[in-house]
Amino acid sequence: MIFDAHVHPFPNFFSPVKMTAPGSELDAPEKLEALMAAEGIDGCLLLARDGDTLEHFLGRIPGAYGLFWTAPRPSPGSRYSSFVEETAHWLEHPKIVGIKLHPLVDAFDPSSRMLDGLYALSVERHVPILFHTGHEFGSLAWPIEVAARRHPRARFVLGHMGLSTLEYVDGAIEVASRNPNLFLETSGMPFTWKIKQAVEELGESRVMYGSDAPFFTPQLELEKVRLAGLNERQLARVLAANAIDLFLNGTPPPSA
Amino acid sequence: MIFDAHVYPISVPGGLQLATPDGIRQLMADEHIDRVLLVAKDADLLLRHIEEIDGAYAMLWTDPRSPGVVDQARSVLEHPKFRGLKLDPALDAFDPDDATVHPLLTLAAEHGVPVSVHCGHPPPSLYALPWMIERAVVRFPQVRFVLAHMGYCVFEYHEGAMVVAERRANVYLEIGGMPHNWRIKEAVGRVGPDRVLHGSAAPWHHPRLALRKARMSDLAPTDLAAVLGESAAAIYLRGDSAG
Repeated sequence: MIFDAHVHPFPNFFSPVKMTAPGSELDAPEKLEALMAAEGIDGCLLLARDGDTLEHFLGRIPGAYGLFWTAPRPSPGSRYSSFVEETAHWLEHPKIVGIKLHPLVDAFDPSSRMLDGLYALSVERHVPILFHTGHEFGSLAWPIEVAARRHPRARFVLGHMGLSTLEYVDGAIEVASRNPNLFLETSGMPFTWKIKQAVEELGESRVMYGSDAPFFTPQLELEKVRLAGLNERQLARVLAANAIDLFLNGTPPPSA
Repeated sequence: MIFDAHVYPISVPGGLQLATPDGIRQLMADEHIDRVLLVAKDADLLLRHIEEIDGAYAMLWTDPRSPGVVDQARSVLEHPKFRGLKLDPALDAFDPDDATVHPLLTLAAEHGVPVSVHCGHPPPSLYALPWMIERAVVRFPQVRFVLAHMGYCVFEYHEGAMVVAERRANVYLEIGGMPHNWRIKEAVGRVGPDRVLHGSAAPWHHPRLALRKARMSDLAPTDLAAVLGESAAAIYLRGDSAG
């Protein structure tokens, strides 16, 4: 079984530079369904700022679940009084099972007290938060660790597990090794052998597969995990079970 | 023919073990690689490897601030299997167009060998950005510069590497560690298949994944053959296999 914990259902959102292969944008449910069928993906987490569109995707695809992408800033004209209230609203949706934060593109420090309300909400609703990691400064493991220690009942996933900088990957593993409420997700992190190291140091239950599609190619991201040298049980946990346990409380997606 | 133009003769914990000639030979056999270009600062180590391994060539990694490096580079380039110089402005922390680099680039021009320059984050360094390397490219038009990793893992730097290659005919793009299969086709479309070459940056990156990435790039068969081997052979070997 394959559960992809990191998929973006919309086209480019923050850069004029081309970031996806022509035609690979997942801007319609049919395209995502086609990708899942082609790659044998049983379930996935969709990360999106637009709750309405996210809801549309989730209604169409049985194996898709959502992470609501928020940021600590006022939303002029919004029908919600704060980003926390808006997030609380979308977490009422039965298939929105977590929160996404991107300290790099949304320009904030994850250790800031202004996020404490959101972290408290994640504990109250028992939903994990997936962070973008791998870029200076807010998207590094260490400032996220500060928040994780202040909120030990919150569960944080370090998306990309440090991405492509070896020192940041080591930092993600190091920080997770001393904080049991931190988990690692593999998308975009290019080093096969670091996946194995992470599983060996953290145990088989705290590393999960993600592709970051359409920015990265799921076929290559899956191949990367399969080349990591994991045993069969570890591979099964990384490719699906760990994300299902964390985000879906152990209940596999209906298509699986 | 597969020519991996970016391999380090080292091992990584729990990963590929390439610190010995046997390890590299095993990798070449497992992945059906015909030729490799080995990169290291230790010239003696490189010499041992290229003399023991059929199909192995060497590129000396030069830190321009290292005492005696120009003389060392001049000496090793006399060997027929030393085929270029490597610069890493990020790890060794220098401006690629700094005056300390110019003697090495002059030497490369005299010997007609390419210079491979680490291009892109990581590690974080403005010196490894394609636009910074371009200044040296302009100053030494007779030197062939290979932008290793073609920007690595940052979309903006991929674009920058391709832009620089489009406007400078002496720039080549090497795809090692750059994670996106579709970018390869884009690069070939923008600068031509003879200026895009395969490299894996093994053992940091797994060569099987690197080859899979290239084969998934939707290139025409002739273009794929160029990227997987012919381009690197033309750039580094100039039609001479040197045994």
